[in-house]
Amino acid sequence: MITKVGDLSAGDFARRLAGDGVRIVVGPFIPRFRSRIGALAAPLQLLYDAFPLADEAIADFHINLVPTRSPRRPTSPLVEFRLDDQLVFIPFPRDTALPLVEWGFNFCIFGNAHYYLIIHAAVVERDGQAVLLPGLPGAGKSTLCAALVHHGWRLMSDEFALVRPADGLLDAVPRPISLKNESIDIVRGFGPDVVLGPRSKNTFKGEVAHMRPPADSVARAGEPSRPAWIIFPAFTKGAETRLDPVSRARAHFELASNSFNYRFLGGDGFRLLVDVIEGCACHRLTYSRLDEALALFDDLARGASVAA
Amino acid sequence: MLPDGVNLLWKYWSDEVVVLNTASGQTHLLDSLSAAVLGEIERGPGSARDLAERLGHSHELDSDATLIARIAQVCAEFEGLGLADRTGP
Repeated sequence: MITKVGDLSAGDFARRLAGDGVRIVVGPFIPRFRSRIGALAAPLQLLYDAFPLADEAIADFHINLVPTRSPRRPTSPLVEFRLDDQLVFIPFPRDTALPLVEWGFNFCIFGNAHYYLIIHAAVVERDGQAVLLPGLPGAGKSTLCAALVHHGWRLMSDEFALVRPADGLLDAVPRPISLKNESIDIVRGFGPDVVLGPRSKNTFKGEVAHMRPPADSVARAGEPSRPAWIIFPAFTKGAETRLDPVSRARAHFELASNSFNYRFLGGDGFRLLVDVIEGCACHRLTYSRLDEALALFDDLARGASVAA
Repeated sequence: MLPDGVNLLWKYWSDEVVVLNTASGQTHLLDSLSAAVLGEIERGPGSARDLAERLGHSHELDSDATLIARIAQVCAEFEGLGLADRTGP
């Protein structure tokens, strides 16, 4: 019985992708991916291997990666990201189609899922308690997230903390983890069980590759978790690993700045963010060694006193 | 005074305060003095001297020239942030 993306043969997946599309259950969302770009099929199936196929006809986001060419440079193959048949971004070089799928899917979520308060943060979970890792580019958020996931934490999201308005819990949207530049080889070095998609060079973020989310995280995507820690990572070369307390007011201000729709939600977003922060311990993690950072997170999960 | 249409939501976190201006959607992180000044502006308009006197009563502060100057500076910052309007020269 075919229930998951990985149950399909490569040929069947490619035919579906090029035809009516592939509907995949990704946490609370069902994107429908379509594309006639044959080279996209294998890496997309690899990264979404463990995800359930949606059998109903309805999808939240109708995503189509359309091959095109530059009118000024007809020899340059490009790709358009279309949502509900509308062009969303200027066309990208076609060899960056896979990262474009992920960036475009991000756009679909943060541009539409306003039922949630959406904070730009990686989220991992253990024993029902979630750690939010908000971070600006370069802070090491995705690398740390990949390391934690490989270290036994459940991946809830590499990109979004989805806060439910009814109860303040976080919904999971465990998607491929986007890695950039040096992070790719660091994560590849975690071990042979790490599955990475192909490298896309020369994107506007440099070289990009994606880590396939663990099957267990995908299988548990329906389990919400309670926010317990907010850790602002700050990768600093050569720095000693340390965890410094951050005031809740500062955390509130920084999370508001890191939210995609906090301003859009007005007073409801404000109150929801207050609820999240009241239930969390807030720290800033400065680190250069992943093993030491992982040990600190283990201490967090054990309830040990870790404040610097 | 508060600009027309500005409504504030407050959260006191220990000795720091976070305020949402629902009109602009902007969130501001304030120290305790700035929060007290904004709170007085929200209660009613007044000059820096008026605000200093009112704060002096409510917070047991000396409303001296130093405090008045500091409040005037905070009010100027609030004006730039759209949290206060000047009521007089």
